[in-house]
Parts: sequence; C-alpha cells; structure tokens
Amino acid sequence: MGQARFQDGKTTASHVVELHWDIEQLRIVAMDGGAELARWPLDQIRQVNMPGDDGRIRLALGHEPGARLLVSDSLDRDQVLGRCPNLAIKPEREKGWWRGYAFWGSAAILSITGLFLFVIPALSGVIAGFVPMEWERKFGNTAEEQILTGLSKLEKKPLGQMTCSTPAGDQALEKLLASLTGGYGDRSQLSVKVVDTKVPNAFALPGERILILRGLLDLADGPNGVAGVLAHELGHVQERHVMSNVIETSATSLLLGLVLGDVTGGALLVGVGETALNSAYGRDKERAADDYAIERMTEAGFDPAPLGDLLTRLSGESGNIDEYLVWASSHPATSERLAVIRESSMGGGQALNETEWQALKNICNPE
Amino acid sequence: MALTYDERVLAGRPQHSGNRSDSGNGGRFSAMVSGGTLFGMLLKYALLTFLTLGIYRFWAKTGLRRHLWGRVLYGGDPFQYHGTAKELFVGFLIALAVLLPLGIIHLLISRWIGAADLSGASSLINSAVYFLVLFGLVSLAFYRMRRYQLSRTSWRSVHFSLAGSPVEYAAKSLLWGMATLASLGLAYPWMLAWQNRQILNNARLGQARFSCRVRGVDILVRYILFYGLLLLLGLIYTALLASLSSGREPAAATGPVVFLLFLVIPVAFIAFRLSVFKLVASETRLNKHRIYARFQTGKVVLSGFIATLTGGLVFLVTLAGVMAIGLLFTVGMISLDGIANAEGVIFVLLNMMQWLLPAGILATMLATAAAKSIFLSSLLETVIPGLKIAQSERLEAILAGNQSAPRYGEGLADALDVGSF
Repeated sequence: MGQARFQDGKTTASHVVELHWDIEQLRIVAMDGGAELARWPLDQIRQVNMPGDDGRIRLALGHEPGARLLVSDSLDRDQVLGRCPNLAIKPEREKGWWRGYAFWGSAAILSITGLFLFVIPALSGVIAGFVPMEWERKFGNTAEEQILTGLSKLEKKPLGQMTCSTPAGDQALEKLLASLTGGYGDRSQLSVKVVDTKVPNAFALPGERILILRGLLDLADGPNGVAGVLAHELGHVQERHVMSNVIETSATSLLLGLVLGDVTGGALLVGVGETALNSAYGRDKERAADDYAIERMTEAGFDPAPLGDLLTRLSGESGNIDEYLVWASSHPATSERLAVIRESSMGGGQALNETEWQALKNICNPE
Repeated sequence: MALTYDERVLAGRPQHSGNRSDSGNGGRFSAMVSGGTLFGMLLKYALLTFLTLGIYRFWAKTGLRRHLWGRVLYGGDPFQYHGTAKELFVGFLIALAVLLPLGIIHLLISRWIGAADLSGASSLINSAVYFLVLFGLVSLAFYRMRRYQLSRTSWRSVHFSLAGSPVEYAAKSLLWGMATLASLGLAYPWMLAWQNRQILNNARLGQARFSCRVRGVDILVRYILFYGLLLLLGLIYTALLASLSSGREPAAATGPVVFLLFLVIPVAFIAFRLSVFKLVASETRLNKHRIYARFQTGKVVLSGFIATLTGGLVFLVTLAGVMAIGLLFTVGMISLDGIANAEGVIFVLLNMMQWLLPAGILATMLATAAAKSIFLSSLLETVIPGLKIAQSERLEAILAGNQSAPRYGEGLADALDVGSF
C-alpha cells in the first residue's frame, strides 16, 4: 500500500490515492475521506506513458481516453509490474485504418496530376495575357543580356562583338521578316538579332525578342530552312509562349514545393529562373508554332519543306556540341513533326534570292 | 498551497489557501527543456525529412510536439500531445486533393476576367483576387490548425478544444486584411486584437472557457514602436544607398552596417510578438481566473540574437569544413592522375562546385537545428515559468467537455506553411 495520484478524466483534479491490490482488481481509494474512486480489473490495466512522465508509470483502463493513474513510488511500481499481466499490450489497429490513406492518397495524386497536366498549362497561358508588356520587355532585356554574356564567354569574345550586322545582311533579314509577319500586327517592338557563335540555335525571348545564332545559318543549305525557323520563333512570340512558359515553370515548382514541403529551405525556387529559359516548350506550343510557321511560309509563297531538312540536320549535329545549347534538343525532329511539314509542302519559291541568302549567311563575316 | 504576494494583491483580497489534493509546485507553470536533446531531435528530423523528400515531416512534427508538450508542466503535471502523424499526413493529402478544384476555379475566374477584357485593370483584378483568396486560405488554415492542436492537447486527461467557425474567422480576417492594406498597415493592431479575441474566446479546457478582452488600442503603442523602427531602418538603408552611389561613403563600411540593420529587424519582430503575447495573455481569463504573464522579453530577444549568430557560425564552419574535405579529396585525385598545372586548377574548381550543394544542405541543416534549439529552449524556459493563473486551486474543478474534435489535421496549414512547429 503506497501513494499515487489519480486523475479521473472528468475533472482536472489530481487526487492523492492509496492503492489496494485485491486478487483480480485494483481499488483506487482517496487518501482523504477514504472514498473509493475506481476499481480496475488487473488484466485490463495498460501502461500509457507519454513524454514528460519522467520516472512515473502512467496507467489506464484499456486504451480509452479518460482516467489515469500515476505511480511514482517504487514499491507501488513493483506491485504494478508484478500484478498486471497485460501492461504492454498495444491497442489494435482500428478496422479500415488504411482507408484514409488510400482514399485521400489517390485523391491527392489525381489532383496533383490534374493540376500539372491541365490546370497549370491552361492557367499560365491566361495569366501570360495579363502580364503588362512593359514588364515582359524588361524581363526580355535581362534574358537577352544573360544569353549574350554566356555565349560571349563560350566564344571568348567581348560582349560588344557578339551581335552581327552588315548592310546587305540586315537588308536580307528585313526582307525575310517583312514577308513572314503578314498577320503579325504592330512590329515596331519586334527585335531579331543574329549572334556570332558556332552554336546552331534560335530563341524566342520575352518581350518580342528573337535571337538567331550563326551556327544555324552555317548549317542551312538555303534561305527557306532559316525562314522556317524564324517563322516558328515568331509563332512563339505571337502567342506569348515564352511568358506563359515562365509562369508555368514557376507554378510547377511552387506546386512541387507544396508537395515536398520546405525540404531544403526554398532551394527549389533557385532553379526556377534557369529552367524558365532552358526548358522546352510543351508539345502543344511546339505544334502551334509549327502551324504558325507553315501558315506564314505558305502565305508568303515559300516552300516550307527545307525546314524539315534543317531539323534533321540539326538532330545529327547535336552530338558535337553541348546538348542543351542546340535548337534540336528542345525541338526534336520527331517523325510526326517532319511528316506534318512535308505534307504541308505544296512547293513554292525561295524566300531569298542567292545574293540575299549569301549576304545573310555572311552577316557575321564583314569583308 | 499559498498564493504569492502578487496574486493576492492583484486579486484584491487575501485568498483562502487550502488545497486538498495538490502539493509542491501546484498552480505554477514550469518548463524543462534541454537544448542538447532538442538539437539532436531537430537534426535527426531534418535529415530524415530531407532523405524522404519531405514525407517524414509529419512524423517529425508529431515527435517534436509530443516532446515539447511533455516538457511543459502545470501543477506538476505535464501537458500531453495526442496527435498522430497519420492525422497530419492524411490532412495534408486532403489539402492536396482540394487544390485541384481551387485551381480550376482560379482558371475560370481568370478566363472570365480575360474575356471581360478590362485590359490594364484586368491584371490588377486578377492579382488582387489571387492575393485575397490566398490570404483567406491562410487564415482558414490557421484557425483549423489551432483547432486541431488544441483538440490534441490535454492536461490531467482533460482536453482543450476550439469552438467557433473557421470560415467566419477567415472571412472577417479577410475584411481586416483589406482594411489593413487600405490604411497602409495602421489597422493591423486592431486586426491582431480581433484575431486573438476570436480564437481565445472560443478556446476551452474541458468545460472551462477562455475569454480575452485585448483591444487594438493596447497593441497600437507596441506596434507604433515596431512600425517606426522599420521606417527608421528603411530610411537609414536608403540614405546609405544614396551615399554609396554618390561615392562619399567608402563601400567597405556599408556591408557590416547593412548586415547589422538586417539583424535588427528579426530581433525587433521577436520583441514585438513577445510583447503582444504578454499583453494578450494578461487580458485573458480562464473561467474568470486571471492569467498573468511576467517574463523578461529581453532575455528571449537576446537568445534570438545568440541563436542567429550561432546558426551563422555553424553554417560557415560546416561549409568551410566540408569544402576543405572536398579540396583534400580533389587534390588527392589529381596527384593520382597527374594532371598538368593549368588544367589542374580548372579541374579543382569544377570539382569543388560539385561539393558546394551537399555542403550547403548539410550546413543549412546543422545551422537551423542549432539556432532553433537554442531559441526554443530559451523561449520556453523564460516564458513558461512567467505564466500564472490566479486562484489556481479552483482549476481543480474543471469538468471535462465533450466537444467534437476534427478527425484529420492541419493539411492546408502544412501546404501553405502556416505556423512553424
């Protein structure tokens, strides 16, 4: 017979009690007044210690919430350990414990998949339309500077000498643009530059900016392949694909952040800026840009078929240079694309005459 | 148990001091938190959370709460946390499931605004709608989180609970948020007072009710001090930038000054939050029993300062240590391969870049665990013993309630990163 504390689970009182051990049950009796507070069958007594119960044994009847008996006296503890046979029995898992996981788990997976596949792509397009042109131009400026700086390091040339211009070459480029921008609308802000680097690529940047890299001109046989790439990039610009891509990438990494939690303290966000520029457009956007290119080419009376040839050749080339720098890596020459381009070809003329084409090809080699 | 002099004075008359069933430290709050144990737990949890891509965080949170709740005692008995990781995890899954409909609604609204074509105004409306919805969601998540936490907390086997409607809380918070925005932050003290009242007036321990009478005016003074400090810092910073661009100030001196400025802001924020907590607690009653909060705010602020510095130091030392190991490793590889000098330097640099990310992650984990454990243990050990409840012997009579408790916990709050632990 020793001293312990009893909390009946009905009030916050903590009674000092005496423990009376009968053969099959424990009687818990209040120290002052001697009232019997509870009778617990020995085989139903469980130990339910929690953090903070240092040096005490916390006992309960079964596993129900409610009354608790706290035993700290060592004699009492020996009694408890000796007399109660089922102290350590854990509560059984309630039936169907997995249902919460299963149901909400599948709902969560469905929801996240739906968000990634449908909502974010659609939403980013809509939101891109809300972004003021002014912001997009500033963003495009920075992006162009970054790309030029990167390429100037690659080519080991000063930044000022990265863009190419010759009077004849500019004229040829302007002629191409004029014939391809029939339905474009106001093109006073449109900027197309040729960059002096061996990398074969072309970018559409935010704010109506297009960069054509000299490597692409080197690879092309004739003007129509280049015209096709230019028209394709014009398609991205016209549909504001760049901006919606940036928004899509940010939204995606934001969502990923939600799912993963703050694992490394926002490290996920760091990659957003980079991936925004490097990542490929979705299939739908590529198809839309292809359609736009074919339409413009046909409208201008150019044969679009050389675009397919240039694509195939680019795919062959990509082995030699860093993969991600090549147009083909983000614009794979899939058989589907090539077929669409081939089928759309109804013949047609050359986009530039031979003199103009040579002028454009040599825009980076002023005599 | 005898009441302290303070309590007798504040209660207005001497109290009867009999307490039939309590002893020793009855009627007092105490906390026994070991910074070392806490550091170990936090580090283990951070590692496991990282390795499991974040899934372990529900188990980590639960473990940490069980530990911390158990380290806080009142009347000699620990508080207990009954929540499980499963509840948090499923709550999180529910929140994810809810995101899709929300996303679709957002899409439809955006489309509708786009179709209505308000040109320049449409982007403004779109971002305003977005902000308001997010603010509402955060408030909703916060109330639900508190309700879950209280329902999973007990003292002497009697559970806490939070009645009231999370939707009402979110809707009114949204209105307050708009007022705060419109008044350039001046309405914030009133919003804070209202939010605290709304939660505390709905909180219960068993059948005992909490009630809170804190007013916005009371918070205003503290707020103006904080607001003024921020303004002052902003001014100093702008002046610094201006003098820097005009070239009068040597650039080397501005670095440390700016660093100090930004160290002051979190410390000032801690001080503001603590003084508001003190105020709110002193305006709160549990069944007519006044609650007193008397602790040294300066002590906590100082520990926040020390925690930040220690964290920074641990970060730098870890980073330097790992990079040094990486350098040894790389140099070892070179001497094995015998790479020529000029190429060797580039090779070393490229190799060291690969060591930077893991070094950074490890350093962040160690630094966060160190800073958090220092701050948390000091916070609890300073604040908790400073709390008192008047006429605490009457708390013996609190009856258990039968309020319903939420089945799952905190999903939205976790997803939106509301609340720290």
